[in-house]
Amino acid sequence: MNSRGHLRTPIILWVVISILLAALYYFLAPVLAQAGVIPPLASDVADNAYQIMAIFTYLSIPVFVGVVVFAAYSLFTFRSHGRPTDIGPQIHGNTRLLGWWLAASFVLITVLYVIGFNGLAQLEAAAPASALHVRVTAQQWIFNYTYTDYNISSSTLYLVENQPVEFTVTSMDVHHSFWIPEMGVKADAVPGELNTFVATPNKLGHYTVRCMELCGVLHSDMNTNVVVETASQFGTWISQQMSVRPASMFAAVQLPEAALLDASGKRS
Amino acid sequence: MEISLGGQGASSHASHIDEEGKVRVGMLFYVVVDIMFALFLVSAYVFLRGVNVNNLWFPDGTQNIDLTQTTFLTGLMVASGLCFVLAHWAVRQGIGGLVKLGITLAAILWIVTLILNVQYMGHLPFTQSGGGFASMYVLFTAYHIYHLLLGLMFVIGITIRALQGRYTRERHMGITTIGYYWYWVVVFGIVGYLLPIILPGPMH
Amino acid sequence: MSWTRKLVPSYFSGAVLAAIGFIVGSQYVWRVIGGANWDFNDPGLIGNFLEQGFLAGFVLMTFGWLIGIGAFKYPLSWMLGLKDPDHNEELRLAGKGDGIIRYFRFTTDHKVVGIQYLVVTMIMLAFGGLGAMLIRTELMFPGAWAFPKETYNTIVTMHGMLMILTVISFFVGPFGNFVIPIMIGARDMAFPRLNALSIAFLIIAMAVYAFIPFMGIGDPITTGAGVQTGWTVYGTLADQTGIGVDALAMAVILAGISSQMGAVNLITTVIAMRAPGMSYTRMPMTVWGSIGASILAALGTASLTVDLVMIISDRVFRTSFFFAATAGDYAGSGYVGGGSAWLTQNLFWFFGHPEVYLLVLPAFGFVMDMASVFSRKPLFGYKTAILGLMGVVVLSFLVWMHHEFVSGFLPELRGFYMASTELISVPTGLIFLVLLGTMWRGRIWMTVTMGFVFAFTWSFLIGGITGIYLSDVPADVQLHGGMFVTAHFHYTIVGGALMGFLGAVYYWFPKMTGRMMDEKIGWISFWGIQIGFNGTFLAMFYVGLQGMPRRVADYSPLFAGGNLVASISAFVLGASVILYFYNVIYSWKAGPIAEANPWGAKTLEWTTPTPVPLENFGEIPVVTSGPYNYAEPATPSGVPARGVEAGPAIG
Ligand code: HEM
Ligand SMILES: [Cu+2]
Ligand SMILES: [Cu+2]
Repeated sequence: MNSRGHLRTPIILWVVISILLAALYYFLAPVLAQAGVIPPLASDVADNAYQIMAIFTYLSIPVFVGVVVFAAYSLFTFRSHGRPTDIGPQIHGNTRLLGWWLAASFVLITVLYVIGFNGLAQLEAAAPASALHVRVTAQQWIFNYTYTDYNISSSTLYLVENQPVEFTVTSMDVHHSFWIPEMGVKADAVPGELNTFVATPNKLGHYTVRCMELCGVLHSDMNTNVVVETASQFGTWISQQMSVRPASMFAAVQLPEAALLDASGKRS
Repeated sequence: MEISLGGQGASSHASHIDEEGKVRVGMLFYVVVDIMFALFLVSAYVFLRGVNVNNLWFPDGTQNIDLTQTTFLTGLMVASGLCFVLAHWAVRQGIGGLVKLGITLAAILWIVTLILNVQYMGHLPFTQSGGGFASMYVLFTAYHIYHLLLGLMFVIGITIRALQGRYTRERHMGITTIGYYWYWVVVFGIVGYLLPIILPGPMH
Repeated sequence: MSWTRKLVPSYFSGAVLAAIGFIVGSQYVWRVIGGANWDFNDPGLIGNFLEQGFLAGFVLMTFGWLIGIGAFKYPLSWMLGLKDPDHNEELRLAGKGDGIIRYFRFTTDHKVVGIQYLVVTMIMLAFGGLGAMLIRTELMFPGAWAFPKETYNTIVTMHGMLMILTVISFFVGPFGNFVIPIMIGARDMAFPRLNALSIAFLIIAMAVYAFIPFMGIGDPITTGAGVQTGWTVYGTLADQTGIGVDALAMAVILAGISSQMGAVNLITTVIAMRAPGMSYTRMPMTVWGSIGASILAALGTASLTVDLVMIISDRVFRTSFFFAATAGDYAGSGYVGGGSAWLTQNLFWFFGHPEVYLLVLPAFGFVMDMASVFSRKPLFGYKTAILGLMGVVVLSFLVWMHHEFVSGFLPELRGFYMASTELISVPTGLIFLVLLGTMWRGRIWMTVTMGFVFAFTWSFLIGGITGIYLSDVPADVQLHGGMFVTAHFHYTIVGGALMGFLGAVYYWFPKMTGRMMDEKIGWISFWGIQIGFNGTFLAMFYVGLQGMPRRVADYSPLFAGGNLVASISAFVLGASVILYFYNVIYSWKAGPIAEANPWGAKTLEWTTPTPVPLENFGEIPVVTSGPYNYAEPATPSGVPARGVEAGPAIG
C-alpha cells in the first residue's frame, strides 16, 4: 500500500471517533454535572468558566483522537514482529504537511484567543454601583468578612442572590487563597496587598469557602460556609448584626494576640 | 550515522577538542549564569521599590548611604579593571614587563577593594533589617563581596603565573578568560553603585 | 596500592570530613557563640541560634565533603601556579586501572560520573516515590487518618521538591553525562573536574535534604516540624514556619549549583568538543534536547537561588524581602517591612516555569531518537524538531505569570501571559508531528523502549491538552490550586519526562552496563506503570474537577471515591516501579551480555565497543552523515581502542 492508501482508514476512524466522542460528551455532560462531577454552579463567573471548559473539551476531542488514532494505527499496521530486517521509507519530512500542521495550530490558537479574551473581558468587568462590598481578610487559619457598606464583620459569608459582590481580599500573615468552588471565585490573599474579584451569585443555597494556597499546618481545615440568600433575608441579618455588634470597620483586621510575630519572627 | 576513521573529510564547522576554545566558552557561560543571578537581584530591587508598601522602602529616619565612599570604592574597582585591560593589551603586544606590572597592580587593587568593601559593609548607616532598601542594599554589597572573594583564587593564580612569565603573546588564554570574570565583577560594581543613584532610596 | 591510598581521597573520606564539618559548624554556633546567652526559655535566642547552628553546620559540611573527596586539589595547585597535570595524571584521575572504587571517588571519567548519576537519581526517585506512596496513603480516606497534618505537609513538600530535583538531574546526569560526549564523538566532557564536582554537589545536597524531617521536632517555638511550605516555598510562609525550611533552602541551593555546573559543562562540551564533521545539524535530538534543558538551567536556576537566599536571610538576618505589611504588624519583632509578598511568587515562578520545560526537553530528545531507531526511519523533519525544541526554550521564559493569574499582581498582564502560554502549544505540537511522522510507515519494533515512547505520546498529549484549560484565565481561576493542576503536571512530568527517562534507561542500559535488560519483566512493569499511572491521575483529574484543593491532609467525604481509586492505582504504580528497579538491578548483575549495537542504531555511541573504554574512541571518528541514515551499511561496530585499556565491566 502506498502512503495515501494508508491514510484512508485512520482519517475515517479519526472523524468517526471524534464525532462519537463529541456526541457522547454532549449528552453525558449534563448528566455528569448533575451527578456531581463538577460543583453545582452558583454564579455568573462559574457559568462562564465551565462554558469555556466545555468549548475546550469539544476543541480538544479531535486533537486528542487524531494523535491517538494515528499513533495506534502506526503501532498496529506497521509493526514488525521481532527485530526488523529491512528499513522504513527514508522520508526526511514533508514541507506541505508541516505547513498545514502549522496553519491548523494557528487557527486553533486563534480560536483559543478569541474565547480566552472574551472570557477575560467578562471576568474583568468592573463592579456596578449596586455591588455589595466585602473585604475578605485571611489569616492562619480563618477567613474574616467585613461588610464595608455596613461596618459589620462576620466569620460566615452571607451574600445576596443576583446582587453583584466585590470581594477585596487580603491577608494578615502568609499567602492564602480565597475560593468559593461553586461560584468560581478565586483570589489570592496576599499580605500587604489588596486583590479584588467581582462575581454575581445566582442561586440560593449553602456553599463552601476553601483556602487554596498552602498556608501552614492547618491549611486543610481552612473551610467555612457561604450562604446565598434573598435580599430580604440578608437585610434582616444585616440589621440584626448592626444592632448586636456595631463593629468598627477594622474589627476583623485586629489580630488576636497569639498570631502576632514574636521576637524571633516565628509565630508563637 | 556514517563515520570514517581515516581522518579525512573533516568538515570545517566542527572542531575537536579545542582546548583554548572550551575554556573560553565555559567561562563565558559561567559569567552568563552569574549575570542572571545579578539580573534577578536588580529586578528584585526595582520590584520592591516599585511596589513599595506603606513607604517602608526607605522608612523615615533612615540615613542614606555615603556617596563619596561608594564612589571611591567603585573607582578602585574600575582602576583594577583598567590595569587588567592594560595587562591584556600588553600580553598581546608581547611586552612582558608591562604584563607583570598590570596584573600585579590589578590584583593589589582587587584585594584592597575587597578589604575596604568588608569594612564598608560593617559601617553602613543602617542594618539589613531597616526596610526594603536596606535589605536590598546589604544583599548587593554581600554579593559583591562574594564575587571578590571567589575571584581571589583567580587573582592569586593569575598573578603568580604572570610573575613566572608563563603568559606569552601566543598563549595567554588565562588572561583572556579570567578577564571576562574580572570585567564582569567591575561591571557589577558599577551597577551596584549606580542603582541607588538612578533609583534612589528615599521616595519622598 | 595500599588501602589508604585507595580510600583517601574518596567519598568515604569525604563523608567523614563532612560529618566533622557539620559537628564543628553547628556546635560552634550552639555552644561557643550561643553558649553564654543561650537560654532554652528565651524564644528569641533559641529560635535564631538553633537555625544558625544548622546553617553553619551545613556550610562546613559542604566544605568538609569537598575537601574530603579531594575536589580542592586542582584549584589549589592551579592557584599556587604549580605544574599543570599531564595526560597520565589526568587518566589516573579518570580512574584508569582502578576497579570498582572509582565509582566511590571524585572520578573525572564522564562514564563513571554518568553511572554515579544514574545510581544517585535512582535512589532519589525511590525516596520520592516512597513519599508519593505515603501521600496516597494519607489521602486514601477522608480525615487525616495516617499522619498528623504537619507531617503530611512535610511529606508533600519533600516529595515534590525531591522529585523535581531528581528529574532535573536526569538531563545532565545519567544520559547527559554518559551518552552525550560519546554521541558527539568526544573523549570526555569539556571540564571533567567540573563534571565530577557537579555530582559531588548533588550528593551533598541530598545529604542536607535528608535533615529536613528531623529538624524542628520538639522545638517549642517553630510552627511544625519539617517543612510546611510545599515545593513552591513561598517566602511569606517560609519566613515563619519551622526550621526545616533552612535545610530545604540549603539543599536546593546546592542542587541548583550542581545543575548549573552541569549545564555549563554540557553546553561547552557540545560547542567545543564535537568530532570533525559533527555539525550542529548532524547531532542527534538527544543532544538538542539536553542543550535546550541546559540553557534553561543556566538561565533560570539563579532566580530560585535568589529566592532561597532571601528566605534564609529573612529568617536569620531579619531582612524584610518578603515582609510587606505595615510597621505596626511586626511591632517588637525586629522587622520593619518594606518587602513584598509578590516578590517571592515572581522569583519562584520565573525559575519554576522554565524548570518544568527543563524536565521535559531532554525527554523530547530521547523519545524522538528512540522513535526513529525503533521505526527504522529518519526523523520526520529534523529542522522541525529543532524548531520545536528551541521554540519551547524561548517561549518558556515568557509565561511564568500564568501561575499568578489569581495573585492580584498586575492583572492587566493576564491576557499577555495567557496568549504566550497558549502559543507554546505550537512548538510542542511540532514535536508530536515529528513523532507521528517518524513512526508512520516505519518498521515498528516493539521493544519496551518503544512502549515507553507510545506511553509518552499518550500522557504528554493529555498533559498538554489539560494545560490549555489551565492557560485560559477564566478556566484557570476555577482550577488553579486544585487537584486538577496536580494531575495535569504529573501527566506532563511523570507521563512525559519520567516515561522518556524510563524508556531511555532501557535503551542505553546495554551501553552503560554491558548487559541487556530483561524484556519480560520489562513488559510486566511497563503495563503496571501505565495502568497505575493513568488510574491515579485520571482519578485526580476527577477529584480536581469536583473541587478538591491540593496539599490538603484532610478532605471532604465528597471526594472519597476518586481518592480511593487514585490511591489504589498509585500502589499498583508503586509496585510496578519496584519491579522496574528490580529489573535494573537484576539485569545489571545477571542480564544477557549485550553486543555493541543491539538496537541497530546509527548514532555514534553505538559504534564504540561495550564496555566503552576510557576516552571512548581509539581514534576520533570523522562524521560524514546525519544520525538517522538507516539506508547506509552498518557502521563498523567496535572501533578498536588504541592504547587505552578498557575499563572493567561494572557489576
Ligand atoms: C510515583 C508516582 C507519583 C505519585 C503517585 C505522586 C503523587 C503525588 C501526590 C498525591 C501529590 C500531592 C498532591 C497534593 O496534595 O498537592 C504530589 C505532589 C507533587 N508531585 Fe508527585 N507523585 C508521583 C511522582 C512524581 C514525580 C515523578 C514528580 C516530578 C518529577 C512529582 C512531582 C510532584 C510535585 C512537584 C508535587 C507538588 C508538591 C507540592 O504541592 O508542593 N511527583 N504527588
Ligand atoms: Cu491555606
Ligand atoms: Cu508554568
